[in-house]
Amino acid sequence: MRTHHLRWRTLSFIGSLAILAMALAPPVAAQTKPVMVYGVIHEYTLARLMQKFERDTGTKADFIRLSAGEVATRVQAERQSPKGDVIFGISRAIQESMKAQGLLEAYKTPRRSEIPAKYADPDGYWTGSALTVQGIAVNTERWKKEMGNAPMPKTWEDLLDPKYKDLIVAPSPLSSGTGFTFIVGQFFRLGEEKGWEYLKALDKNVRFYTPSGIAPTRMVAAGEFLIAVTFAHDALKAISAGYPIALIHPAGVSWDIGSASLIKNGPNPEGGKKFIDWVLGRDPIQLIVDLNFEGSLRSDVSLPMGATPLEKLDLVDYKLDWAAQNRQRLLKQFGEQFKK
Amino acid sequence: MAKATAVQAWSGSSRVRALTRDPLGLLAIVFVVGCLAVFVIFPVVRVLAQPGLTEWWRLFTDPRWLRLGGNTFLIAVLSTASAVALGFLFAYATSRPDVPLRHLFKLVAILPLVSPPFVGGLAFILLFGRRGLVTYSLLGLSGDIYGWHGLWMVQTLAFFPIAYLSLAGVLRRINPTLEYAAQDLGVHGLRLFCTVTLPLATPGLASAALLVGIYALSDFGNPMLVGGAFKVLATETYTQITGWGDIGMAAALSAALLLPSLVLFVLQRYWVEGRSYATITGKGSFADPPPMSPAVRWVVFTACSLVALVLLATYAVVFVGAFARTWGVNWRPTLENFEYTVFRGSQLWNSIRFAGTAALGGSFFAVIAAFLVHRKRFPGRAAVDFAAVLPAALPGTLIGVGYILAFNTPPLALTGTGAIIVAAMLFRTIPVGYQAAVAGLAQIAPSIEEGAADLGARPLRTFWDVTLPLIRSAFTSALIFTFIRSMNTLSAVVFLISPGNVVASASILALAEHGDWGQASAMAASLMSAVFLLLLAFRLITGGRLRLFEL
Amino acid sequence: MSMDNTTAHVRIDGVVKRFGGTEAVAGVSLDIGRGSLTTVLGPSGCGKTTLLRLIAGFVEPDAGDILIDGVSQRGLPPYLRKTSTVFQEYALFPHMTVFDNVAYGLRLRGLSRTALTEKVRHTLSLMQLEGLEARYPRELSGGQQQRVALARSLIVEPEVLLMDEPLSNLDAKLRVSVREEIREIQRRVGITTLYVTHDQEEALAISDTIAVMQGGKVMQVGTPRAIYEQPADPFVAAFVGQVNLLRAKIEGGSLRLGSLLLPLPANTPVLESGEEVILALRPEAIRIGAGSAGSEVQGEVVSRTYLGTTVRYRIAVAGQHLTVDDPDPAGRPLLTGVLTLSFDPSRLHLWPAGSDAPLSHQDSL
Repeated sequence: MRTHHLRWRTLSFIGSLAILAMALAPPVAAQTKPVMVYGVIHEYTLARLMQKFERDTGTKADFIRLSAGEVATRVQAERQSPKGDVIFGISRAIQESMKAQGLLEAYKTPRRSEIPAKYADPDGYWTGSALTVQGIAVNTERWKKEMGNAPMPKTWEDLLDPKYKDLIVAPSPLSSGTGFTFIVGQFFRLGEEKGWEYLKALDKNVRFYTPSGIAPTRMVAAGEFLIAVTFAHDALKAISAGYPIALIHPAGVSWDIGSASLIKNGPNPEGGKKFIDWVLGRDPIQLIVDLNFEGSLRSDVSLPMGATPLEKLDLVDYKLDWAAQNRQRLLKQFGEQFKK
Repeated sequence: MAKATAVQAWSGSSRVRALTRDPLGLLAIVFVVGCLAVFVIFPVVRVLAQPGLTEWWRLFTDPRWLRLGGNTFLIAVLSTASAVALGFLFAYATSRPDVPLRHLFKLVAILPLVSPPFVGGLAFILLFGRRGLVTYSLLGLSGDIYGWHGLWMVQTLAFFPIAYLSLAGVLRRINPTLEYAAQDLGVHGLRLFCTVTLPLATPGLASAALLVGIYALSDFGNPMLVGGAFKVLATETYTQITGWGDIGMAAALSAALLLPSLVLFVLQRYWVEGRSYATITGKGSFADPPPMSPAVRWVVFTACSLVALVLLATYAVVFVGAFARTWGVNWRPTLENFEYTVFRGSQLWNSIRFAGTAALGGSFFAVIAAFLVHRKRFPGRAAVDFAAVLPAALPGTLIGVGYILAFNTPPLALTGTGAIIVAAMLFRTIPVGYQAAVAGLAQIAPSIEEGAADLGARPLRTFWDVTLPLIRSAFTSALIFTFIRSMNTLSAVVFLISPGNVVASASILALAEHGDWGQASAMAASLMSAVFLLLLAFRLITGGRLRLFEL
Repeated sequence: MSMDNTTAHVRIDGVVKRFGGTEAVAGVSLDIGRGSLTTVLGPSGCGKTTLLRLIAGFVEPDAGDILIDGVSQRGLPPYLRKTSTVFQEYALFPHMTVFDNVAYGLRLRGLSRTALTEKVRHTLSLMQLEGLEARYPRELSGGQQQRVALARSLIVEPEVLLMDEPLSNLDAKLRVSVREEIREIQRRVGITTLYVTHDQEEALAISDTIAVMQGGKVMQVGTPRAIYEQPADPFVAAFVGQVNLLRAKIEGGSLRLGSLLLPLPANTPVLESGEEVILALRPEAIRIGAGSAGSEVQGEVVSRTYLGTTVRYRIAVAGQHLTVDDPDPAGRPLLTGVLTLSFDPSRLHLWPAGSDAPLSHQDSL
């Protein structure tokens, strides 16, 4: 009968409208406005952090995981009407250039007193949360099979050995903080001119440069490649998961500080400040260390499992200002000279 | 008396008058035109207007871009050729009743369509990578799948369903009597195939090639995962934005992809579509085609089975990876991977609600637009028609870049919201719903709608009582297709996500890039399951009278 | 042709409709009497369907007006006009049952459920469609579909019923019985009806008034009898029924037809000697055999066709051909050779040769 059809059609129409309304409405907001975090560290860790933040403080935090370059681009693109409140975990060099562009807001969190002074921006634009050091990751299973008893590479120069051709994979500085940290590390170690020479020589052995920073480590863990340029925490994480990796720290290791910053004119600056105050505390930092294997700046947080203590590492003299100022130029040059 | 009022000339403004008589119709036209102008045309214009002269100059002279352009072209040609060949194989196999398991092949052939396109890439690494299940654990091989050859394989498997669908339809419409006639004249076997079957299918082959070509050109996820050093324009657009912050260059690169896509699109729509050798006399009232020789039958069967096996393995491996603690190292089953990605994360729910909204809104919009363009007369109809199908030619990255540029500032500041993602999903898939509705409308004799009006039904009433019920199947197929495509879309939305509005597909890519195979697989498996379950539920609700993908 | 305003139910006044460059309706004026069944008869392409659609409101005229009960219909969309159309293809709603199809118009008018059901059932029984309420159009025969279409149109009690070649989709035998049913119903309900067809027998059988159309113009309006027995021009004569068309010349006070000299029929308009004319003579008006003087011609049999009820002869007369029917040939041998034909001069129609009637009509006989 017609009425049956009519009812069906009307029902489905109304039903559709209802679903539309429900779906488009933003999820039920917490009592307070949520905090928007642009995070550069591991997505999974960020998720855990946000959930812990909500549990501890009652405020909702939403995040999106982006690579360092993406964050810079996004904040820049949004400068007329920023959508994010906090940047977290990004390389300092990029943060410096963002500071120079006036995209950040100074906030001297009380947590500053809990870490050594040199790990926080004197003007208050960023505050360090973790120390990350770089190194070389080698797949031990493949090494045994393909290199036998030969000694593993101990220095950066060892990587130039032709027997490693197409066996090395490295992150691209064009889109990852890891990559950028790596190349400036070489510049700080050797001086810029010799640094470029080194990179050119290494390029012969590199199969390709990955868009994301952690991809080389991941690939070496899976055995896709033999050697990767890596952040120590990425390698340690893989090791703890059971992958056959050896982490080597050559002399002259590049390093970085992951840090937190407040974005200028964000939608929820109070929430942003609250987040920064919280995330630099002992428990959240411990969580990051446990999950991410990054080194902590706080004295009351233990070392990640398997990590080499700081005193035993030979860190390069990282000149933050120089790195920030020359970033664009260096990247341009890299893009022109290295095609992989 | 009547004579005095009688003879009064009518001008050609009777058309306009007809429009104003129907204010609701006029409103609908304005709405549709407005939406298409804002959400389809404007972003494209914005992208084309963004690059300055330097960027355009660089595009054509910088050796890096030229190389990438060459790469893109090369892989597109390769993948298209193999995808069409494979699609034809499947179409041929499923069209002959004497091929065993052909219903299984039908199902398998459309599997890649209901999953995110780059899951193929992910699974490929899991299966055939260094530590892949097949290459390492089973066969002990060592080889490198990164690069153009790996990408080629992955894209072939990912895109052949598109060719399959197009070709299956074509083959079905060829009158088998022609083959009987040829045999009667003494031609059979390979000669028959080459001189009769293949030529008849040629327009369909051309059409399929053009369709697949557009997909291959704009593929983003697979090259990211499997391409290695072999980079293509779509991924480079991504890098330009994420690494360099150079939106101008990204826009220029997107535009570079747009031109070949448009060419393919125009060719397919206006040149090939018209040349169909199909006999259009009713449906399926044909006799079965003549039987194949056993040798051919078994070759076809074996080939299809192999591919089917690979495909099924691909999806199986994703599910295996979802439950494995650490891929390649620790195979202990666990639910850990699901915990923070699915159970407590919002990404899957975001995908569902955005895709659902896009599907509902998009289907209504498509149906209304089709109705207006094909039942009403107003100036600029052809332009609206073109705008409604244009998105099919736009690469996903172009839409993404276009939307960030277009909707970042008031009056339409949509960036950072879920609405922009819904809009991108919705307008990206309009062409399918629109064309389905147009085909449906073409089957309604105009006199039926006139009959309703004649009996006293106003235009809206006619639309509701008569037109809508008669194109219901077009509506539902639009709904389903939009939903599936939107759930799985990546390239268009990867630039549009924001805190609280992350969708599953973007999350899978991020997780996979990080080497979190377990979580990536868990998310991918959940995404595919969600699509499958929702489709099942929908089918149950509507009583199973669905014609989905010609199944 | 013209009645005064008070009796014409529908008045079509100087209506013109152009499509592209052609005039489908080229200035038509016609009055349709209340309660009458008026047929617009013409070959395909003559504009009759367009005329019907103009009255229904599916198209608007480029010039002229259409009035129903003296009210101009200009600008009124179809859903506001008090006309109801039965389409050539019936146009039943395929997704609705017979009941719902017929009930649709009433639903639009907001009738209560009980009143609606009552009315629908009544109409269905009127159309002999009982028992088919739950069927869908695709499950019905052609004749049944046609009746449903008619029921659907009648139930809303329109002022004017418009029927567009309603029988053309039925087979021949069915057409005859159905057209009688339609006529019967139309008479009983008393509804003003405009009926469009190309079938002249149909038109003759059921119409109160026939308007013959050709090339967008109305050639003649009249009762069936008037149309048939007093055609206004060669076209009407040829289109309605069979006719012999001949060319002749005026000579003095007589007609020169080849070697024959015939007296001019009475009522002939004054024509000059030497003027060319066209003659029309229906086959049934010609007898084989001798007749009164002045009405006889001689001719030779060219061909003959046995049709059962008649034998149709083609006879060459004065260089032209005549078709002559010999009724009831049972038992008699077929004729051949030279015959004498006779006719009643008063049944000879005559027009100046300027009339645009193609003589090819003759060949179609």
